[in-house]
Amino acid sequence: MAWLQVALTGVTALRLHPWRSVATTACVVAALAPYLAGLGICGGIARESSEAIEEGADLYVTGMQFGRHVPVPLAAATELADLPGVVKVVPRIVGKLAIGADRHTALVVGMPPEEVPAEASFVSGELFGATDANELIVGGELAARLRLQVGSQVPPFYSNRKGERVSKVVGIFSPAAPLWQANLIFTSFDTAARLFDQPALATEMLVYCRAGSEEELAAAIRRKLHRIADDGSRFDVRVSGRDAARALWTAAAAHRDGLFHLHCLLAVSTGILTVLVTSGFGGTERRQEVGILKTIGWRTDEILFRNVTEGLLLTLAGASLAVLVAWLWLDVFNGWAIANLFVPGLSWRPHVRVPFALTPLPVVLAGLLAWVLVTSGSLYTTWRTAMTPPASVLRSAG
Amino acid sequence: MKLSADGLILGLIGCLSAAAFLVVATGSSQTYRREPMGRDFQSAVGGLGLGCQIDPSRCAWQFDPRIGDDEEPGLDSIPCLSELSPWHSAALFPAPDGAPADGGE
Repeated sequence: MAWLQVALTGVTALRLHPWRSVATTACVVAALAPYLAGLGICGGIARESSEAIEEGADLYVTGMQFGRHVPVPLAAATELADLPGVVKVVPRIVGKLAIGADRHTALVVGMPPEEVPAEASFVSGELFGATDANELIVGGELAARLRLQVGSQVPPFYSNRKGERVSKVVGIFSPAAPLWQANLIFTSFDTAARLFDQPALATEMLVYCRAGSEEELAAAIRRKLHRIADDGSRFDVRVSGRDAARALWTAAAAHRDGLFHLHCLLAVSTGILTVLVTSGFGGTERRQEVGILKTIGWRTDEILFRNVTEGLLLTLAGASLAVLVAWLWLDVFNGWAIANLFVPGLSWRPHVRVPFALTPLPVVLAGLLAWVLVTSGSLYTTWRTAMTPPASVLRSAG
Repeated sequence: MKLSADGLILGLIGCLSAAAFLVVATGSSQTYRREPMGRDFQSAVGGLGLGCQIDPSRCAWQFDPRIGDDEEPGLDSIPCLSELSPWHSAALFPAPDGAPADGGE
């Protein structure tokens, strides 16, 4: 019970020195909020990436020459479809084009219309059809930069030996669709082939196969598509599947260096201010307080316990506020001015919903870091003062 | 009077902690809320995007290692810490070591 009363005096200490408490809490929030927001964005991208692995094809087949990716002839689709275990082969075009007066980079993705679901919740407007017209679905960032809306006509931005056409924006990706739609132009395979003037090539073949046959099939594909042409040129294929992507993903967890280093640096530099506030600037006040407590009969362990309680409460307040600020920053303000640091290419006020996930582990670690910062500044000073005779403490504290 | 002021501070800290706990415990996540849309999108485009880049013009590898070449821009360094590529602030993937994940035969 006596210890509870001592702990309650820790609450009183917060009230007696309001500016010290406010300054310490503000330092903790300033250090932790960007750190948590950054980790939240990283967690959100991680979850969406995992979705991209699970919902994607079983195998991705691209050509390899000179150690680089090269397109695959469309004829390879038939060869692949004949392999045992293959359920479906879908050719896809993924390429870059410059568009607009400012030459914005757009990522063009072309898929056969029959492979795209008729109802798509991720698009405002319509999906492209199997027509000869250039019908485009444009990503949020790109649409905002080019001031495009559903129904906009886009003058020719590509060159084709058979002539160029005006394209029509039939849909804009919903801001809530995954991040990678930002600069995307999604269209039919034929339109994409026209935009790049490559009628007989796909950048990759998406192979869907029976469960459990991926490895065997990957080996069969490498054997089947590997060839030496009459002129001696060699064509290899690269086959990557879900397992390879998942393996990369596992390795990725240990390689978030940039994020951690940048924010640890920020946290530590702001943490120094916290320590200064708790130990240096408030030092005279604290020495006076400890001297008076010793004079009226408090023991050193009681004074230290009071100090720990005060630090714990400040940490709790600061860390909780930091979590709420990070959540508001990401959810309500959509990561303004921070998302573009973690996702290069986004504008400071993103036109796509920035994914985030605030998970318990980083929050707990951030809380621990805050507690260390808050108490390390004051605990040692308090202990040293409490060990000194009260009279000399009060004399030196003035 | 003194007790009520202390109680107010404790109550305020308690409320803040409870709110923060709720935010974390409910798995507050844009990703969870838009999962069906994400699945539809990925299924329509055949799986696209696997990193922190929104287009492959700066680093295709960080956009999607399944389709990206293993090119890497020069690395910048942060004093006293390890190297950091300017385009990979949230580097989700290790830089490729010069060979593709599956180099073919």
